[in-house]
Amino acid sequence: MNLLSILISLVSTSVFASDFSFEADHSLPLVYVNVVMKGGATQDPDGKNGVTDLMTKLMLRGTKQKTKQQIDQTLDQLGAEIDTETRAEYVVLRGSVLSENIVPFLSLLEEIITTPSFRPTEFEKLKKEQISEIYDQLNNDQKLIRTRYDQIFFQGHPYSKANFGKVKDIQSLTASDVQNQYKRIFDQSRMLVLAAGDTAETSFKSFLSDINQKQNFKTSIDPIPAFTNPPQGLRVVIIDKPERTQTQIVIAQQGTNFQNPSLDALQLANFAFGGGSFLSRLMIELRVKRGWTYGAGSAFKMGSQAHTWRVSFFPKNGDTPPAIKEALKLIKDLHDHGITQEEFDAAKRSMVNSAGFNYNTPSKRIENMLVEKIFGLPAGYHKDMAKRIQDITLAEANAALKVFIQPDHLMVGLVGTASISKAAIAKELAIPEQKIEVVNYSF
Amino acid sequence: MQKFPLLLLLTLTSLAITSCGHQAQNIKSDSSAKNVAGNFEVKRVQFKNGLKLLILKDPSSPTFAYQTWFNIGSRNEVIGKTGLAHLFEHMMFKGTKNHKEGEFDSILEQAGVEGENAFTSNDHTVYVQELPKEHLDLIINLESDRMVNLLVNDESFKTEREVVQNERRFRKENSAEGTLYQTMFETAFTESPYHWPVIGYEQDLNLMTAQDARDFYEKFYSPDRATIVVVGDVNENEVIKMVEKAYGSLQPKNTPDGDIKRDVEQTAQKRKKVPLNIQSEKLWMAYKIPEANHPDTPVFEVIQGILSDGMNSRLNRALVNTGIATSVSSGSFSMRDPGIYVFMADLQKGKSASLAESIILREIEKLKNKPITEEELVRVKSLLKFHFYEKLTTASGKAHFLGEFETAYGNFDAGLNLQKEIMKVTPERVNQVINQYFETKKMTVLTGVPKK
Repeated sequence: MNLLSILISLVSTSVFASDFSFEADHSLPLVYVNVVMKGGATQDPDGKNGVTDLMTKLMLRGTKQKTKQQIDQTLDQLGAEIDTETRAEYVVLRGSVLSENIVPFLSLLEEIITTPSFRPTEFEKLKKEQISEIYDQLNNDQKLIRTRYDQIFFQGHPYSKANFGKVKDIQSLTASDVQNQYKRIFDQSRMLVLAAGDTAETSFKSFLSDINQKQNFKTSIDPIPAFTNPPQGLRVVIIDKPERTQTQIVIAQQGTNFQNPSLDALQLANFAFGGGSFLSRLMIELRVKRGWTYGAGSAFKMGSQAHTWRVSFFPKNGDTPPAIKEALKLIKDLHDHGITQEEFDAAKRSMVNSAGFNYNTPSKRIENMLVEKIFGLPAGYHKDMAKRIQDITLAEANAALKVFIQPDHLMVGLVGTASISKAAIAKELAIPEQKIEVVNYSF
Repeated sequence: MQKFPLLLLLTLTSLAITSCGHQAQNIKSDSSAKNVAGNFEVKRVQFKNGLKLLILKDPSSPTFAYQTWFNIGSRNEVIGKTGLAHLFEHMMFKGTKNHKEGEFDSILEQAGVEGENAFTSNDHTVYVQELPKEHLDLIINLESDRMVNLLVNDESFKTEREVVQNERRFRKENSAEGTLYQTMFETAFTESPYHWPVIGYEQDLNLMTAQDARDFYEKFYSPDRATIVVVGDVNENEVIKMVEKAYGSLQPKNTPDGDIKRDVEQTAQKRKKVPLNIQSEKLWMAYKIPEANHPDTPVFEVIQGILSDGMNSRLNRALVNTGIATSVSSGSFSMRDPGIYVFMADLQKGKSASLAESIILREIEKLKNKPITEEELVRVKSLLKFHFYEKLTTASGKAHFLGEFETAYGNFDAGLNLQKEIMKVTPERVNQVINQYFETKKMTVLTGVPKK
């Protein structure tokens, strides 16, 4: 294959109310189409957590012209898939298809977006499936800690809402709740269409035009308020699940958002501390030196408002108390002393040299564009990261850590068996046992 | 096993086409580039020490994926030392005679490595990286170094053993799916090494020593058990030169696999109830199938497409659309030795695994008694074609595809032939294969039930 055979062109247009971007890539006979709507699980009304996710899934279960079975059959025959994904602040319909079938595929996708039928029989079936899926997720301790942690940390705030909903709320949802949510979310002025693959931009012309004509809601979504109730002092919560031989632990504080001018410096410092490297401080201290955990890491969870900065690891029961104590000490040390010159240099070289992998495939470039557009970042924000990281100094990184890290205001959350771990954790952390909260793992 | 005739064939072929000249002094065979899919072509080289090299040029990004596939897995272990292949894989990230502990990761991370990792299966152990294109020489030298110069330190071994125990707790002990997976292999297989978990048993890991790891390395790690796959923005001739320089002088060990047992034919149904910390029941069912390199393999791919690929598949319609299960899947664990075809269903709350089992059996009976329609076959083939291309969208995906088929079948061509054979499968072949292998009296059934 020679370079000339690859035609890559990036087109972005706002001719239509929806925002459209396309990248041609003829290396394989596939086309990817993502339809993104601003407004995700955080837009679920109180008491109706799960309505956005159900609404998106129900869209694939019937249009005014086709039953669920007809949609499924058409997709299979085209060599295509459409999945839905509900995130806190947006939903995505992710489609992919053999390029020879792009035209009928777009026609089906347009039908799904503009004329969903929301049939009550399918809705009732979906509700049952969703509830069973939630129960099934309780079996996975790593997924469980992520969901339950946010519910507890952000109690009362939209970020506490689980993307897939709550059993109790889903049980009381009605088909009209879902229809109302569709009208609220699917305003085409908030729609992004991001596509890439083995076709031409012109393939999308009638798709965009039809959506433009048919999708004409004028609605608004609620802005997400800042979270004003982060942990005060050290809070320890055991999400109690029977017969665990290991705990899944998250230690977090309130995070930051994309507007923070120190975010790049913090990302660099976080990389050195626990951001994905086998030689990060967390991995060295918890895994390499002590063998306490298979994985250990730290990361920023980002949103339009400050979400969380979190440390996670999973030791066996016996190592849980000392591992928590050590992690808290490492966080305090990060605040007090920052990262070393050696850690800084290694992290910077690694981030700068690996930056190309953040945008080396069409699907990654689509995903970057999605985040940039949803959160109002400048175009090329991800691609330019290496340049920005290159300019950061050690002093800037450590100054940012000093302001950001709050070692005295953290919440330790763990999925584990309280009868095994509670007393030992209290003793190790020198806190009264009654200060440790215990909640049921089910929700 | 068809391994011996295949190797013999390769040897004879290579005698005829061995290249001359300084660059090629260690090369045994050197095939011309072959198209895989889209614009992609693969070049295959085999060196005299047995090392195989596959190169796929893809200049779409100034990077490359580098994978080293070893023909070593848990099937090479013995009873009492289960989990050694995987634990040893962890030790490969420690020091060598030329690089002290931590240097391997440090050098690669600062070079900008992406997705540095490794994984062990029943049949293979694989080391993977992606790097900016200017670091090809670096990874070739680091990987060739640890292929022969690894040092296994007693203290590091003890700590890493504990890390692996934690991985085992995470993947098996505290996971309902992990527990069912392990139980299925333990139950379906009795003689073959596939009956023990790749990650090993707790008691075996506890007794394992650094000397066990050193012995395993000495016995199995050598160029004749390795395939290197390079996919990305590289020059083929430069790759060959660099690999030849770094690996060409390494000596083969030609360690035989030894007496690896195969299971005797299963003649009776096996059933187990597995109490788990779950809210609703789970069903796992399995039938024995032949080894991956068998003419019936493409038919199993089509059967999987008919039964559970896509929401319009037969089992999705019968179990999910009817509100009995939240999900259903099936597929073959196609391995070097005879494997299993497994069905997995997560039941909706209040629905029983026995109901799901009877429906799956009913659907299998339908397939046995009535050939599928051409329309259904077209649906399945479209989906399988789509999935084939999907696997190849990233450099590491392409490398995985090539490495897997080269290691499991002896030649990556088998992966391409499999796609061609899938397109040739007829309704009659589906009918014949399902009648031959899916015998109710020979199946293994696990029911995951909520603990009281």
